[in-house]
Amino acid sequence: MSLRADLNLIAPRLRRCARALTCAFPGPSEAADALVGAALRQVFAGGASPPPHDLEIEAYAALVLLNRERVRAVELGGAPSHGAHGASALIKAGGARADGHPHETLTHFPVSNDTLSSALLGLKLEEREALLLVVLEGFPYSRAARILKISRSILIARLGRARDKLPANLLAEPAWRRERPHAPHLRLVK
Amino acid sequence: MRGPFPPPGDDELHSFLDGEIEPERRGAIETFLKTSPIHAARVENWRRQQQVIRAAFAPIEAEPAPTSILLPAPSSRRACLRLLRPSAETPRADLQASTQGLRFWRRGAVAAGGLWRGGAGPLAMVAIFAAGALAALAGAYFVDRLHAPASDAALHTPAPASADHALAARTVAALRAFAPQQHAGASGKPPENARPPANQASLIVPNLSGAGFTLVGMRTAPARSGDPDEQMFCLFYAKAAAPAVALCIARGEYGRGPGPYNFAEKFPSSGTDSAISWRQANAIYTLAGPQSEVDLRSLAYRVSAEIAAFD
Repeated sequence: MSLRADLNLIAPRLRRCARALTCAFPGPSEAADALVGAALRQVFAGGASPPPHDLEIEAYAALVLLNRERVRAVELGGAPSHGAHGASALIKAGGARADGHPHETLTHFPVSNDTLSSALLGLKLEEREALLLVVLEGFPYSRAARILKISRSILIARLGRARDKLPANLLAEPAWRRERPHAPHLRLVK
Repeated sequence: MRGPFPPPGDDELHSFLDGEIEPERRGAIETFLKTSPIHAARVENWRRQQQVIRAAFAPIEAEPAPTSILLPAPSSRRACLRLLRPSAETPRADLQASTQGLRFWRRGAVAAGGLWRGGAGPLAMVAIFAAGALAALAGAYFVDRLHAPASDAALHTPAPASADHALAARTVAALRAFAPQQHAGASGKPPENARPPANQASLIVPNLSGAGFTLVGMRTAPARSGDPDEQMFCLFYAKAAAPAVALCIARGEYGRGPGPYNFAEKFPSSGTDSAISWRQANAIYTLAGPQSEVDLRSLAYRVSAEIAAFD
């Protein structure tokens, strides 16, 4: 298998991770796809042909870094740039601030209002990365730590914080959604 | 009594849930959780979170990836374009060859200019430009060969026998590239939201829970030549103690009944994996894994029977 084919095989999993990272919503996302394309091209431009497992780590690491750049660019209020990789034109503003409410921070993504999306976007980015790599992508701690370039103990600490912050019932309707304003009463005026 | 081990901390509880705990410690934590309903509830809550997150995003993996994000297969035409307009996306080896080609072209042009000024006539200039163009095309051909290793050429050989072997090689590669997820608490049934991509809706997803295998993942292996019929759809099954197997399906006009079962020996690329392929219901099925030939054949017959039952 060529490097190109190996990278293309990873693409479906990268897309899943990118959607969860960027908008925490499983629906289509141009921005997430643009991130995946940029990550694949970045690893391919590196030119190396490591064993499949290392290639996977490189691809996920590139995705995580590009997403951090995107989030930083959004926080600074500018358009993110991915150099010569051509992804910047597709990547629109978006991304969650560490402590922000999804409604305040995400304006360009089709954010779902369900509990899961809100809960994931309520996490700090570093916590969301750790959680998604272990829980969603099924990486062992050692590989997830290599992707994030942190130690195993820091990874477990972030994972623990993320798990503790998520609500017990992720399928329930979020509290902020239950608190709907009362419908105006109609009065019959004679 | 909690045994000789100290009670676990949060780190150990996370490691326990994620299958990262040493076997001897696992028993102690299980015992601890039986005696501590509060901690057991926390671990159970994390497990439920994991199931909800995986279920929510699982369908994405089965969606066909848009070609805009995939790395395109190299073609002669594209290589020519790269020669004329090298981009930052071009790998370094290409850039060097492209630059050499351009230099050759420029040299031809400069020489032609000199001859023109020297009065050698337009015929000589045309000849030198033609030589430059030939050199550039040769460079393009060389770059294209750099991009297409011998194995790639073998994978796209149209002959039926080698096509089977090529699919087997791609299936083994897909299996190697697949990182099996820890499926704690997974049932023996395929995920409810698992479905083949839209363009492969007619494919049958066999349920191997009877053999103890759980469906743990799906991948579409994109066609490298751009031919949609070459696209493979791969299903990955795992059993608690046994290593994962991959079942890849490629469409084609091969008739209804199960064809001959071709067993391929262990692949040098993986060292341990073997593959068995057969034709059925207008598709080629390839099953790959590190199991013995007997086990792999037995599993292949089971898959074949499941597919036949749908016919």
